[in-house]
Amino acid sequence: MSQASVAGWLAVLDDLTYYELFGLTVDASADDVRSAFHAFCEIFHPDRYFGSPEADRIGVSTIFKRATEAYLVLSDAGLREHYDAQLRGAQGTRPQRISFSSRSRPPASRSPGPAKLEDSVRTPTARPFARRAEELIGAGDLRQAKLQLVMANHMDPQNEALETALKDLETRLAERR
Amino acid sequence: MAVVGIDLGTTNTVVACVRGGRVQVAADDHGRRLLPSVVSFHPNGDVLVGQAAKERRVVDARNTIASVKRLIGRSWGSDEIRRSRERFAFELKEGPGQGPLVVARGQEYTLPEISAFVLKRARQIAEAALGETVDRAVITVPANFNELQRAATKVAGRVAGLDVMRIINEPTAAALAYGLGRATHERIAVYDFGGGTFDCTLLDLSGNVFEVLATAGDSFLGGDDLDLAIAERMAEAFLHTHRYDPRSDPQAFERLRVAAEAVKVSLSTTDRTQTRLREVAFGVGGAHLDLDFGMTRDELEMLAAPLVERTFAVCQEALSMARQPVTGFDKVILVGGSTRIPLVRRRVEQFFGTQPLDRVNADEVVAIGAAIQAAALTEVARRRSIPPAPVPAVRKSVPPEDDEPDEITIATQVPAQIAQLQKSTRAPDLSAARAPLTPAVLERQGDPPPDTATTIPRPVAYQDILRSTLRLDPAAAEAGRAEAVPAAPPPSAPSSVPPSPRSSGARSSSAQRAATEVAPDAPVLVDVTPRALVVETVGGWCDVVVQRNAKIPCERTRAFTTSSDMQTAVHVRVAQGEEAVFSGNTFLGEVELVGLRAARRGEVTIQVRFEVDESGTLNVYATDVATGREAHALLQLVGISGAPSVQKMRARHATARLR
Repeated sequence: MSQASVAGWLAVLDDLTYYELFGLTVDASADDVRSAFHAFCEIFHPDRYFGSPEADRIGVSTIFKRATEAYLVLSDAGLREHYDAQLRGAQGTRPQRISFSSRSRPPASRSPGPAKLEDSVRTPTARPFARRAEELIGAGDLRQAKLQLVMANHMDPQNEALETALKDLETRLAERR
Repeated sequence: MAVVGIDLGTTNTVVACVRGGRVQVAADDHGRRLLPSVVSFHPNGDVLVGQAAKERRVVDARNTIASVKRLIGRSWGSDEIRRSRERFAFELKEGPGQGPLVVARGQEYTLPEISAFVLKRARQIAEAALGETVDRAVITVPANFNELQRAATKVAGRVAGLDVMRIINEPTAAALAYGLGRATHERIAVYDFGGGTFDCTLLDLSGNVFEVLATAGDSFLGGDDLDLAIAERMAEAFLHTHRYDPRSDPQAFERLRVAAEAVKVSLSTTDRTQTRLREVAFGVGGAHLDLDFGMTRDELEMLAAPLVERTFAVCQEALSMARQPVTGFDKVILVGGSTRIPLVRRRVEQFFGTQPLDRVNADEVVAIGAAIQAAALTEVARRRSIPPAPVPAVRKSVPPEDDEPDEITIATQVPAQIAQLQKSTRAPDLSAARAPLTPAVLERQGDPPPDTATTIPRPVAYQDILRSTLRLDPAAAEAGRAEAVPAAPPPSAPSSVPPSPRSSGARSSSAQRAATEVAPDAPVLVDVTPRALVVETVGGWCDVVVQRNAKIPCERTRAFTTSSDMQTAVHVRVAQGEEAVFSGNTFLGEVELVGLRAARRGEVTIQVRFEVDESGTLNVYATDVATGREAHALLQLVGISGAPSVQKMRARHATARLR
């Protein structure tokens, strides 16, 4: 394989947006994203370079790791929205990779569930679960609320508000026991 | 030298190999293709493996080790070990580094060592069948095996003298064996109900790419549980007739378990079965007590129903992670011996709404897939060439002082005003702030431009890349634009290219072009981490660094701050699991970073980088952002670090007489 082409990819890797990496346009559909990722896998999956010299394997692996990150973001409606906003808001200094706000974790607060959990949800699939969880917390059914929150967290991973809400709830459940 | 695929199962082990484009399952000299994963230490010093060992189970249960896979890679304090000690007749004790040890005939063995006996026998069978040495293997594990269990399996392979090329997930291997997805895009569910574990894995296939969407499993749910339930029923019957409880005698209960398995198997094909077990125990004056036991398929299904229902809870979990409806699957593959139970088949069909596939032998399908993967890994020559790199719309790596316009590389489709914008607002080097997932990246320079809609430059399509170089010339740009029109894949494209009827113009054509050079048939697996990887934060909570079911290989970085004043060292404790409380997860190990600047709490930032490679092996790096000091750890895995070295175990293996 050609060393030069791997080097070429590595040289521009940090400058590529997730869309550029896959040769997609920002209006690509979910199916487009999947197809592009699969095409990318056929070329760059590290398994294709199993017996290659280590330098090549490391290079390809670096490129592919960026692709799994890009695919994670582009195939999740919520993350993609977040990323698009990030691209739009960043002027000429586009941060090509997704970033999340600082997630420092102070000891779990004792306050009851947040006033409007539903508003912090970033994916449509998570919304009904967050809403139901709040209703159940209000009704005092913490066990059922936890199940709903777990689902909301599944549907909208890495959402700080949802995660905090879940932890608060677990603390309250633990205290009850 | 041959490469093989090995399905190291809880109950049986199967070894297969690709020969001249065909997969061959190796049979021993009796023609048996299933090697029972049982090791028995004979009084004469021989180590029996397989059928011979399984037969020893009824006469020498204490020195006959079975179902090791349920225990491998688990720490002594774990629930699983505690539960297993109740149900297994052989002795377990705590070893160094919390690793459990098996005690047999006065010798202590680590669990990987026991598995290595099975692997070694499998290797011998393959060598005899193939007529050549076998030195490399792909070994399969349940999809939900954690880091420790995978590492322990690798150790077992090395002790058996095998270079473990890759550990792959069983359900993924099964999908490979079916060779699905070659022609079209399809979604596959793999329902893997084996002797000891249950897994549900959802895959999205197109062409040669096998993408795992989600996987979920229960590592304590399998056919063994049903055997146990039947054996309990037998014990009750025995107690009723003879007023003696065989459960009080491990040897007698072991016999019931073996008989229970036979009852279960025969009820898959008949409606009623009757067994007579002689001399299960001895009564007053040495009178032997026999057991007559009859069971109908309906009765068996009553016992099995709760176990089978538990499998669908796991399937539901996988479905919700993959965000797929239950009816969204084109095919369902059955894997594992327990899928022979008629009730299981009926329920799977009801659940997924499609008749499950069982064309390939459910016992061999995983080994066949592993052999295909082993062959794929060694077929390096059939690799696809790498297309030239795309041209980013913005090149940030251009030094700010250099203002030559031709140094800025602008893609063909970037609107002119963007190019203008880029030139005028080119920022100082951002490399320090480029790490993902840290607060630093979010800091933007300046306000968003008034019309945000126009600031997303259209990216470069592969079509353009092929025509353009880093420095663009107008002719190429023109050609690129002409090419960017959505086009159907060329009819002459080789069949190995995913024809993907749903592909559209946004999808690149570079892969298709590159494919005309070589046409690799070897499949590519894009697997996932079965469980979240977390670090401990203040108060015993977890922070998820790599989410559950993340595609691998991958890399994630997280920033943390010190939690107490004048703290000069941090221990980054790493675990695997989904519990919010750190101690609720499987502790993997820790990385220590020393020599931090003494400062008030929160003032020192530590960056933690997790790297999961294509085998699912985790590397953790911790960096002090201020000093750049880095600590790297291949995690010292619990239960493995304390064990004797592979060399030591191999030496002991070399002297064992394997039969």
